[in-house]
Amino acid sequence: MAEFLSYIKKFITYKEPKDIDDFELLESDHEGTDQDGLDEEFQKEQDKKSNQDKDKGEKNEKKKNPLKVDDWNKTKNKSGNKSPQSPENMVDPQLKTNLERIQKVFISDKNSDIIIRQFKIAQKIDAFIVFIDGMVDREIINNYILRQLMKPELFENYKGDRLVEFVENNVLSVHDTKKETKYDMIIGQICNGITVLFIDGCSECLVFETRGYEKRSVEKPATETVIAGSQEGFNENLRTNITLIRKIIKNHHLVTEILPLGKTNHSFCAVIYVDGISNPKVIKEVKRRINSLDTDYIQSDGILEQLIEDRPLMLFPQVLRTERPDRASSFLMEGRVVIVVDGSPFTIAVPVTFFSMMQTSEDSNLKWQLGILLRLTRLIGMFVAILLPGLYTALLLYHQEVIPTDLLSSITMARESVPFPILVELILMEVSFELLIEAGIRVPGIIGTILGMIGGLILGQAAVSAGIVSPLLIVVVAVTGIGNFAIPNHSLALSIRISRYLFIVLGALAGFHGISVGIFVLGGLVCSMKSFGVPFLSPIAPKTKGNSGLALRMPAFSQKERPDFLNTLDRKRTGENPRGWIKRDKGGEKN
Amino acid sequence: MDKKRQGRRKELIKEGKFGPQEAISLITITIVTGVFFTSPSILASYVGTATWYMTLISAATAALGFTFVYLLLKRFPGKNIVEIFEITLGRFLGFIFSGLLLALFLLSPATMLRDFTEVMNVYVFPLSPPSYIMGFFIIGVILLGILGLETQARFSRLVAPILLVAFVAALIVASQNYELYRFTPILGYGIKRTIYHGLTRSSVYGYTIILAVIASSLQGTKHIKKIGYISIVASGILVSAATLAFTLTFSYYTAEEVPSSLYQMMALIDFGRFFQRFDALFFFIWDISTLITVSLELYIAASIYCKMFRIQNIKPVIIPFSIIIFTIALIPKDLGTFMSGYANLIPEYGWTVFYILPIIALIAAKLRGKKGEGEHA
Repeated sequence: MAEFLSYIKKFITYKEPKDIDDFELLESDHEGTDQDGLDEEFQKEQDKKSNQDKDKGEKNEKKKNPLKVDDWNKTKNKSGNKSPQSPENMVDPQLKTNLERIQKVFISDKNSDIIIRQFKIAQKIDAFIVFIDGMVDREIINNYILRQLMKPELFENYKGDRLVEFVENNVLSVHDTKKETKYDMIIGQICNGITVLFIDGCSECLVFETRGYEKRSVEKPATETVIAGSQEGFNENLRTNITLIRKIIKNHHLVTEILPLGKTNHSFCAVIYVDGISNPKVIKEVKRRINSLDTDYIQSDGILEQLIEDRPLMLFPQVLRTERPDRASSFLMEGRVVIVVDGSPFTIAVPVTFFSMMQTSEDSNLKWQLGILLRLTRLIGMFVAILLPGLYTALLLYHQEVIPTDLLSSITMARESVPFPILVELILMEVSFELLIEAGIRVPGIIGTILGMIGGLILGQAAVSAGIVSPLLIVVVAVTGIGNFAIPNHSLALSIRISRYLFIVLGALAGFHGISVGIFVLGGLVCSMKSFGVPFLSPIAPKTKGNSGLALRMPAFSQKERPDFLNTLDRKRTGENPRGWIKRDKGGEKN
Repeated sequence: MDKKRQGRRKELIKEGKFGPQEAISLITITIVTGVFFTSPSILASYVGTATWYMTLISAATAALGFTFVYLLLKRFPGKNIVEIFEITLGRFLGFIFSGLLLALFLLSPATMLRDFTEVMNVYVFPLSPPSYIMGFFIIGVILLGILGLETQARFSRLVAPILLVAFVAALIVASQNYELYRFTPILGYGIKRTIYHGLTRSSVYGYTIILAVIASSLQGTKHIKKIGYISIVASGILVSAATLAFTLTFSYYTAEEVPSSLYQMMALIDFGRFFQRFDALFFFIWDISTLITVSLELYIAASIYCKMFRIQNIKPVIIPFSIIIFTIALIPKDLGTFMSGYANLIPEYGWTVFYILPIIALIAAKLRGKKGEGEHA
């Protein structure tokens, strides 16, 4: 009861709105300028901030009273986190201490996956390597690490100091090695399939790239198939996915920043952008959002999407997930930022708009006239998918006068034997259709196809014959379903499937008036959406300049500029005359 | 105004920023929506066949009236009309002037809502109670009101081309019923009467004052000038085209009896057995335009109120104001009562608030030597 009263009180009393740090990508003076200046500015800002923090810290320190030992212990236990520079977090020169620590951290007495191999370097110095079985390439460990380390002849020139450096430079035949001193980093690396070498008497260890776990090969994309275009798709391996992008964008300004994901999972994601094109504010915002995540485990890009999108309560997606490297590369060259999550065959592109979700990579591979046709077909498909059942309900319940007499009479005759009201009949069929789609996805391979055929043909035919539904309704539901499948983005298609029910109900309650209100509300919600500070309906609402080819496909040579709403540093995509072979005089006339 | 007060002013509500195209779409839709309802038949009863150019006289008068609003805004760059009233006329009188503007923006959407509901009752939902139709409507209006001005501006920019194409297409397909002889007598009930009504009904174009309320969301006074004049010219052309189509379709004595001229025109379309009765399709333009207009006017009312009382959060004001609008809309007993009284209130007398108040403020500013920051008198 008290809870109910408090709810009522909350409902009727005023509460100050939460002060949310709303990111907006506004026009700035830096657009189209060199990034160096910007970097300096950001650096200055950062310095200013850190100085301020420092000052604050100093002031606070002055005010603080010294803690008692008990209080200090309490605080330490409460926080549970060790500072990166604390002695507990640093590699100890004594090998035994390091071994015990590793054994403790990985619970090696129970955990059979952890391999701790102890040996003597050059048959003299105690050492051990640690790795996770199955995550590493045994060939590298046996032949290029252990064998090398145990050979005394490789240590003939060793003078007795800086052993780690000597081993790194003269003994190991591994392409990627790094010295590390902090345990939190070392543990994360081991979890990722990297091997770590601890040597007695050394206060740093060596980590080497030995990842060699099983992975799927590069295959055709399953959800974004095209007729004309690349047939490569991402897989679940972070490094492979980055390479697939690098294979397309052979640009030295392509930057990959690896950021940790999840507190206990030691997983990583890569933030990729083209330095000098992408707006630094967007890059900064992407990194800020990812770095601020406080969750133990991020399973996939889908979870990350939910954690970083602007408005999680909104039905429509605000980031774009693609499994096509060519599409991700095209986004990067437009000035967007791509996030690749380890273990996920999809990458996330931000900021995105509604129109980018209605495009496929095939559009740009075809002539512009064909591209326009495809994009218009998809738009029509989307409107059909969202509105057709609602309009059908509204027409039959409220606006029969709009239906031509002949059609109306055939509809009436077909509906004569149907016992259900239109709304029930429509919902029944829509739900059956949803069940078919869901079952078709869950049932493996060929059975799914057969299930779709059985459901679509036999069930529909039987329902009509039995007089449960009218034939026209089957046509409406089928066309709606086909329209929905024409939407290239899976998340958007799902959102539209849900919105369709809203329009069915509104059409049944108030005819075209209800549908108009639905369009108004849904349109308003979509207009209010932003993806990393960029309005979702750009470049139409708000109107931004020079974006030929964004809403409809325009000739490749007329797409001279990058999308205006992305506020990229380098606006120009092409020169003044992209088709250099057509020489033009000053007046623009063809010679 | 002292610096302390100015400092406080800066903490006012965030209404977002939008460009001229969004603003033009908003204002033009707000002005043109009136033509879908009882307004053309009322005009026909006043000036007969002269409605199409009478409305152009109104537009020209409104453009003149807007010039004073623009001059006032130019004198106080970055300030909205509520602030300007307070600066030029003092706290008390400024408050009363803003209150009058608020009252007008509460009455206007209520009138529009009732107008819409009555026409709906006549043509589409004869059995539905007005409150049912209004209830649906008001839910949509509240949601857009809460989403804010920027969202409304974007939505109107999104649908404006569609509405325009549909509107022009409607006038073209209705041309099968146009008869040139209905164009005469060209002077209607007399030029004197036409000019008189043209001047007094200029208030239908007076909604450009909205620009003065949301001045801080627009990109400077220069843009406001452009937005204001383009909106008036665009709406003048559209309203004139619609009334001309109406004049050519119905005889002036029939026209007075038609509650919604454009809806009726669409109902008469007949291109063979299959393509006929386009009225319900036309319904979408009509409905969505009205939703945009009412939600904008509701927002403007809430915005004026918040600015008057220096309330920073506009959202809690939206629902109470929409209830007030809903209640006012329910006051007229029936269509007859509405058309004879309420429907004429703003078109006939709105100019007193739309133009006279800014003119008084401008004169007061000149006399008292008041000017905004960065403006040199």
